[in-house]
Amino acid sequence: MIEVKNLVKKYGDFSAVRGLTFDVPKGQILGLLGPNGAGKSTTMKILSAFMPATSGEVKVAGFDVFEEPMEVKKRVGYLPEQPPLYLEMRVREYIDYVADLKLVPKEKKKERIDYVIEHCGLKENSTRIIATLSKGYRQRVGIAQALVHDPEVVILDEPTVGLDPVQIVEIRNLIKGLAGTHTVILSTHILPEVVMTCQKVILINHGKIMVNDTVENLTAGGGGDSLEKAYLKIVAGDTVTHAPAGL
Amino acid sequence: MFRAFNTIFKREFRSYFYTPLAYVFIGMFVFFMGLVFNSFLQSYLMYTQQSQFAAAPQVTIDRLAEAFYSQTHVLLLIMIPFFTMRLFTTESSQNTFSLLMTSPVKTTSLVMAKFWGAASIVLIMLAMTLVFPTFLFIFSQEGAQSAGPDLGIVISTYIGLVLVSLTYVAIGTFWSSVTESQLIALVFTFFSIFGLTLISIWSESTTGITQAVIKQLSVSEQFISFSKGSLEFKSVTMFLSYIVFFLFLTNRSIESRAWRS
Repeated sequence: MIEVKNLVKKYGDFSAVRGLTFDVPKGQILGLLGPNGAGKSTTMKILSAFMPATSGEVKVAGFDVFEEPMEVKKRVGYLPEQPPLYLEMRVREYIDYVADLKLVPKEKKKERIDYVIEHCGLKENSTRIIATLSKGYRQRVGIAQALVHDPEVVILDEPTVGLDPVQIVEIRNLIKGLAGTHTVILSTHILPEVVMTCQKVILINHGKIMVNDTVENLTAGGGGDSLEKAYLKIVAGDTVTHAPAGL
Repeated sequence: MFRAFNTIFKREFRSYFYTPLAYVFIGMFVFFMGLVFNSFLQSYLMYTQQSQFAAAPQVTIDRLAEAFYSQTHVLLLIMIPFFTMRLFTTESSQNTFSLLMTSPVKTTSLVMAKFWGAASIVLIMLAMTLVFPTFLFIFSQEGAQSAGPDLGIVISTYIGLVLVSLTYVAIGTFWSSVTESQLIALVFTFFSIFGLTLISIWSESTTGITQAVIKQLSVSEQFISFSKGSLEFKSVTMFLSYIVFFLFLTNRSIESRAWRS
């Protein structure tokens, strides 16, 4: 469903992504893990045809993101780090707008909007103006926006940031529910999140893949310990002098 | 493709009414136009009274209307930058630009939708001013003394106003696409518009072909010929070229964003 070969992205002299190669089969949930500035967001921007790569080959849902970006855009739902919200609009009005942008067929539109509003827990707030919503609710609207056109591929950049523990569980369940029918890539720097939601993990640092394995293998040693060890080992190789808190 | 245009256009148009911006500006515009029209009527009365007694030069209503419409032009020139400054700048600051760029929307549809979103507000404002010539037409029939305005001149003036407005909106659309700051977009739009109007002054100090070129490029110079009732092909072409040129630049600037980021 997603094939990435030798993906490189340079910002001027700085290389954010240095030769990533991986693929995600249909229906799988992949977790992109890594410290800040590892190249997670950049990779996701390229996968969603938002930004062109410097070199390399990327195929999403069978289409090349450079050759046929329109076809890719029809099939991808993307939630950037900062949710793309028109603060002056009402929740339902906004999702309706996105549904039109994503070319959801007219006869299916109402059903899809109702579906995402219910599943993202926005039912009570659907008539509120987005500017009046808390960060957690704005994040939910962002997720609803990425799912409204029932995309084959869902790309979520730190989807649970800013949510309270109850909301995190809800959103995790929502994402888990996408497995099988949708291919999902989500980025995070929270380790337990990967263990709980993803089937496969790619750990990147400085734009390179450090670990690419299934969650089962990584946690075989006992409850996420080996994943944590791997993560700390990689991060400790950097200038970090103390173990990051909250892992 | 039409759906994308339609969707973005509708949102753009409505967005003017989410905040008091459109109400305030349309209200102000209509108020000032009323004042200008009032002074126009007074000076017209004064001229007609004078011409009854002395052998004062005959001033037709159309000559006076020229001054009236040039003031309309100045008001538009001041207001349009405020309508265009937020077109693309707010998309950047709210990060909604990423939504548009990851949706199956062609850059051309996006630019056209933004352009017409702002242009439609300006055209509504212009349509409101039609009340003034209508007023003149209605009341001129009764007084045999004063003939009403020439319908042809009114039509050509309005074609001129529409073309001038669309040119300014296209310039504003462009500037809003190159910066993330509304203020910078506003200032640059002002200067570009003023520049295009004021180059006619510069033409006075030149001669020959240079002068001809500058006069052809000057928006105010071209607009005057419309308000005199001459609907020239080269003037229409010039305005259309400006519009196409700036929308083309906007298109380029939007497409290059992905590469610059």
